[in-house]
Amino acid sequence: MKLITAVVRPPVFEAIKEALALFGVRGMTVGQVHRISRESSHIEVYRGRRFPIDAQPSIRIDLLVPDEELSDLTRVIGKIMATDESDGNVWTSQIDLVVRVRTGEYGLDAL
Amino acid sequence: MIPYPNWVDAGDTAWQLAAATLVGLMSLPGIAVLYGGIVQKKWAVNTILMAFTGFSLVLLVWVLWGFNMGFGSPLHLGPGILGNFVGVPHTLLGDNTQEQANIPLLNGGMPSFHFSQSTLAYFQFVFAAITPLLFLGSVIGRINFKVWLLFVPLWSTFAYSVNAFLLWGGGWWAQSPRGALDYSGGYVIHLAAGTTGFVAAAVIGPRLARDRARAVPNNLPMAAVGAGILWLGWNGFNGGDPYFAGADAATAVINTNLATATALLTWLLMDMFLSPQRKPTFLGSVNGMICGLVAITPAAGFVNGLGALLIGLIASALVWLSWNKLARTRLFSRVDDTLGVVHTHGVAGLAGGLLVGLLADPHIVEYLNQDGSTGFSAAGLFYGNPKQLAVQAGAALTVIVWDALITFLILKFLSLFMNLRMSDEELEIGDVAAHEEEAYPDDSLVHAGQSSSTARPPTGAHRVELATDAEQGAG
Repeated sequence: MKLITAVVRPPVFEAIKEALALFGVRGMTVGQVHRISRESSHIEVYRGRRFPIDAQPSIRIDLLVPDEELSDLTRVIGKIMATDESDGNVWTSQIDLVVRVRTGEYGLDAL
Repeated sequence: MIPYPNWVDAGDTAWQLAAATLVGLMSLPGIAVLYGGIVQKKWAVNTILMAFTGFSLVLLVWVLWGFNMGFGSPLHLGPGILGNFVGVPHTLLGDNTQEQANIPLLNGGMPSFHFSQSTLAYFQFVFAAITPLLFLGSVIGRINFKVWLLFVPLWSTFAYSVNAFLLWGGGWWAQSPRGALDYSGGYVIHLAAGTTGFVAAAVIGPRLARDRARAVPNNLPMAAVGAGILWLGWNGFNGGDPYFAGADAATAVINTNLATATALLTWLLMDMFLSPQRKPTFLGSVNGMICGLVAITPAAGFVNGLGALLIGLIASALVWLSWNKLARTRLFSRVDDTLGVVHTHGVAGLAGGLLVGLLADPHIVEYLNQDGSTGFSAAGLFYGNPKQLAVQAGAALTVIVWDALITFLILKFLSLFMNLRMSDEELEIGDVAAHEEEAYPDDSLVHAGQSSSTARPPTGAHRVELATDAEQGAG
């Protein structure tokens, strides 16, 4: 079992969600985060003072998937992120165990 | 010495200035925080700034030439309506505005004023100022800020002045034998704002599809503050329009509140029993409240209490249907009127203006004769004067056609040398792109090393290190 994590600009999130739905992905965890990068810094001005802000509002997607779907889904997410001008990251990690608390199911059954 | 001449009445003057201030508060902060709260978070600053600048721009126009175009001597452009269409543009700056207030075409048609010309000019200014702020609601989320800075003074000059002159300055629609009724601006302000907003939204084009699809408000409590200021501010809006602190002012105030309460509850009940979600909603009740305020505006001091109640009920139900049904039709869904001003101000203002043609009660007296008999009151169709309804329809049509035409022409003219819209990149970002400010900045995200003058400026190496850390942190 794997975890796919992507940090994307908010406008791309909807497209990713829709594409994943086509692949039968039913659920995921989503959070509003800030991503720090040199490329996306901007200036804000309050009462004449300039404030450099290098944190870009972003959406973080966490998605648990069976091993065999990992490369397909990562590629789908990456493709859609590539249509957006800004950069972003998608990464994957190994998951040892998932429990669906309500039913007590373990592993793949819990997805 | 004496403080003021005999024609001044301290009570009338005090009420007029207080009423004007109440109406001013409806714009700032009323509309600014109501609209600022119901737009998406990314547009709150842009919206609030457009409200503050619109208010400022109209005051300059008003003092320099606008007031006399609305309330001065008629400009003779031709026969019939053209001879009584708009006033001669003339500045107030050189005038002695401490003299007794005077609207030339109304001399003899109403009691002479008990306050100075500057009192009248300021009172009428706050009405002129709120009108562009109302149609601001239609164009939020894409209008180029510089276009706003030009559109407002041009519109105020060519559209608002004409509306005001025709109905309030003693112009053609106010004259006998027509005598169109608009107590406080159901047509001059609200129908005008609804029409203008809708046409402007069509000409400027829609928001980004993404913004349209997810236009959720950012601060409901802030909207509640704005909505509350609007309601109570309306006591000055309608209570100030008889120009005297007498019985009709009080009638207008209580009628305003009665219609508004009825309209708020009507919308709430329709949401609870007729909407798909069957739930009472706060923002629905605010819409209902605005419908009541707008619809009673042309009628406030002409109808009795039952009339006010009916106006609140009917206007709210009509606008609820317009909002929920008409809005789904092709024309209305194609034009992106951001906050639905065409419904809550256009439809409600039109409904109120027509209803006063039915419900105006001759026993509700605006001005008395010396002997205490009725000097001026109005009668609608239900009180034996069917002609009034036709007059009301005619005046409405004039305002709709003229304001739509002027709005279209001004925006087409401005589009010759500037973009009416922000760029798509700016639209995607919102306030930060347009103003380098955001509504709710987060101090934890500011790059503290450069923002604080006392802190040591970061070296290049430090910055690289920071970015590298971040990249590692993100994967």
